Amino acid sequence: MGLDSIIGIANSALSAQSQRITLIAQNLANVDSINSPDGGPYQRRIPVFEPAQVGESDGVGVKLAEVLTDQSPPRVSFDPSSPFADENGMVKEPSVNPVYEMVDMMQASRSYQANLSVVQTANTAALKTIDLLK
Amino acid sequence: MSINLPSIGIQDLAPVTPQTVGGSAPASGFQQIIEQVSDTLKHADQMAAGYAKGQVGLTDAVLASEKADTTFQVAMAIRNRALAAYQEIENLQV
Repeated sequence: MGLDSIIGIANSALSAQSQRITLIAQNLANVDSINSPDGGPYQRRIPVFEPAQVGESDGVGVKLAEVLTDQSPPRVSFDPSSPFADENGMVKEPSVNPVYEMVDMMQASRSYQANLSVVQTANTAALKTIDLLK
Repeated sequence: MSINLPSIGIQDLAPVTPQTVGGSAPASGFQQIIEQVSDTLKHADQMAAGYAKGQVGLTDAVLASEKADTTFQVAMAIRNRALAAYQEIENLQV
């Protein structure tokens, strides 16, 4: 366990958090997508993380295990003029809530910063140790 | 209570047998460090190029460069130490 494994672990967390932010961007971008390729409105994507081995070190980092789709029912709004409206004039819209996404993005951003701090601390410690030789 | 001081054996001060650099002699000591640093710097370079081409993530590229920088500084510190020790011995009055 040394500088290498610390940076490896923090790196895995940084990658995981940036993938999370990618999914949030995807969710926010598709907040109005009512017609996805697999039929019906866009389904919100949810990242699932799991501990993962980092390189050949004994450190346990994190990785994106899978991306789930939100199974909650879609929002419906009344718009009989839409070509996607059903017989009652209702249109199914994605179940994405921009407020949830923003809060999730803040968490992801903070987590990213925290892991950057880990790298910075490890680096400062290493440089201070080198100073012993000077 | 006894205090055990580490002993410096006379064999530690025996002259180092010269070795051919870059030849078939096994890399030892400082040469090994230099090779390691060189590899790390090359790796960081490749990662930076990979990032420019869009093949490597930003964090991977930045952290590889950071690691290379730290490794290089360690090597420099060791080199300065070794040189200082050599010069001190060179300046000994006989």
